[in-house]
Amino acid sequence: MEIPIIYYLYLSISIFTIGIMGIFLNRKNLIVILMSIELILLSANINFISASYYYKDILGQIFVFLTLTVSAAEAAVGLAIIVIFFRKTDSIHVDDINKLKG
Amino acid sequence: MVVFSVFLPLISFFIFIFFSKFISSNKLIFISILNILISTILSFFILKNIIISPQSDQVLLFNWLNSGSLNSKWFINVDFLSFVMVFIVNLVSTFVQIYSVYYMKNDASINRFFCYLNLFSFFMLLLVTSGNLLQLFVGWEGVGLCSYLLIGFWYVKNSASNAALKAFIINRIGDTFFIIGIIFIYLIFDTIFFSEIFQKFNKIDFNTYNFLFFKIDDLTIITLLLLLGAMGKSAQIGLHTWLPDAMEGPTPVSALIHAATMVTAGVFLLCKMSIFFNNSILISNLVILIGSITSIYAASVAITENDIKKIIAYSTCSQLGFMFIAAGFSMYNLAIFHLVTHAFFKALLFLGAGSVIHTSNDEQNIKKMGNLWNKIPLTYLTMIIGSLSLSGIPLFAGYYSKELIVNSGLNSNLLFSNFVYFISIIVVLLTSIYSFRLIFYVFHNNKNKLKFSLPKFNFSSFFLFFPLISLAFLAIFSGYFIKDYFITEKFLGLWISSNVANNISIHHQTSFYLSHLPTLFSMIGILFIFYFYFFNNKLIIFFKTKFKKTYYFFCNKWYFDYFYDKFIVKKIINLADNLWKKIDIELIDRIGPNGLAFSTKNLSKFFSNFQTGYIYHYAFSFIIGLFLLITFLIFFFN
Repeated sequence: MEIPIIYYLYLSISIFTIGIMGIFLNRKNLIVILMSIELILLSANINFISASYYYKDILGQIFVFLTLTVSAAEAAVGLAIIVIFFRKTDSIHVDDINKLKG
Repeated sequence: MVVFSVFLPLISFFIFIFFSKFISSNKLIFISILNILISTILSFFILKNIIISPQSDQVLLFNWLNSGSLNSKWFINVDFLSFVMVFIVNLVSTFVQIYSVYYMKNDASINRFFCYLNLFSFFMLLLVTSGNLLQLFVGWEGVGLCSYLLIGFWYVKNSASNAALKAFIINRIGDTFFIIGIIFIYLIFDTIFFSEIFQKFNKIDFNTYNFLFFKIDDLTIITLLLLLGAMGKSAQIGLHTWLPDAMEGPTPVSALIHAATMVTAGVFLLCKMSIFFNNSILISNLVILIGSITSIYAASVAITENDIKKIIAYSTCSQLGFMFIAAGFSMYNLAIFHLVTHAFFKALLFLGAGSVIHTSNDEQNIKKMGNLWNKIPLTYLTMIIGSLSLSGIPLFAGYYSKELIVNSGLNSNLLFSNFVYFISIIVVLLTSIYSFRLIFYVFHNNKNKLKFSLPKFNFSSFFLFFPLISLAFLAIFSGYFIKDYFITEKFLGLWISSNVANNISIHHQTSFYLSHLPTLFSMIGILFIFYFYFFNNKLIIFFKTKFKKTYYFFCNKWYFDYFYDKFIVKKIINLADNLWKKIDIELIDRIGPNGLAFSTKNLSKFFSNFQTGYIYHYAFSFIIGLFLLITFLIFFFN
């Protein structure tokens, strides 16, 4: 049985929303923000794959690999920043990051 | 030769500027005196040549301004009028410089003093030899600048720097009118060269305007502006207040300002532009009125003044009034004649006064002096010669010029000539009164015990005696020997070739008795003073109490300074104060620079509140922005 493409889009949009909310509402941990960003990227990947299947076009799936690579690199950079931040301030609490306050 | 006679003082000025660090000041002063002496001798020979063969020659120096039809080549004008002035300026400068060696020998900045003196002489020489109006104006302003520098020479004294400012500012008023006059002349004649102006003068039709109810033509306006300029420099009534205050400068400077440079510039201008004045009856009347009022004003103030230098300063003012009267009667040669004789006896009087002041330990109040006649007999003698010459006693230099000026009032057709004659007779009387009042108080009054420091006879006393004796000789004899060049028809060619309008034949028409009236009056004045001070001391007190109001009126200089101070100076200071406090600080600064800086600061404070520093705030605004952008794109580009 074929699952209509609209359900994939529902799934991806709900994962995207969860990711966004994770960034906004999270007041605790920097790592959670990083994970939320990963979620957003994954939701985009789901979109790509479902569209690729729907249009019978392999290009979307190739793009997903690219995105995954980028997200892995991004996660590495993000984690490195977090580590350095932790070394400096002994905390990765979100509320402690307010150096930009004017 | 011509160039050197004018530019040598400038060279000594530069020598002082550049070498005062390397060469001892004695040597520098020697060079300076040598230079001015050489230029005196040169100018004497040039003058002699001009007298032998009357000519008007021009030596081109360089091209200064070239803009459209405005062309200002610098010329040295070689004619009789210019070189009489050059000779007088050089001669008096020589004496003043020699005298300054004696007078300023204990002053630390004697180099600076000589430097300014030379510059002063140079600018005056430039003024009198200039070939066009703009060049004349350069000299005119330079003389004003140097007078400022020299009057304020002892700038640590508050009164001196104030007097220097006063001289400078009041001169600016006259100069403003003068430069407007120059612009008018350029607009109408399309040239600023004297020779071309004089050539074109008869060919030009002057426009006539209706101003209020008067008909005024261009000529009257130009002449009036030139007159106002001359009044500022020559300290005529209204713009005279700087002259007595200028006495704050060292005494040699006063001699230089009063005898040769600066104040004579106005009279020189009247004579140089004589064609204009000669053709405007209205302004001629104005000139004699101004001259006579100035002379009576200065003479009346001088009889109540107590400062030795101010008395002589007022007498200069009064004599300048006489020169204006002569110029107003179209007898420009007579004005120059009086200028020459006046230069000698006024320089003599000032140098004598300097000697008196030094002897009495820098005391200038004549009431505190006295009994000096047997202590400094030479100064006494020369001062008496100067005063006799100033009063116009026969055979002294002043007699020849002054008598003719006074008598010219009898023969003139001008509206006010009788009034002016009457005034000038009174001034002659007052002149001898104040001159001999000064002599009496300084040299004979033996009530006072003032401490003296008698001059010691040594090498430096040469620098005192030489100028005094030479000037005394000139003050006695110059009038007799040079009068021919100024008043006889034989030498009329000299004046014609230097473009001076003239009216020489006048003095033959006066009757014998009338023509000797001024002499009589000046004799009466001297006898008056003798009687008052030697035989009847109480009479002075009687006069003072009887005419108390008049006395105070004279004492307060006709309330000119009071009036100016109250109605002009105070008002301008108030205005400036208000402009500074209300407009500048309150309005411009508050709205302009300060206001802008303040509002920028506030605005940025407001905007910096947006930067909370929390990541989720940034993320939120980022996402919202993204949504808005996408919405925008979808709505407007689909």
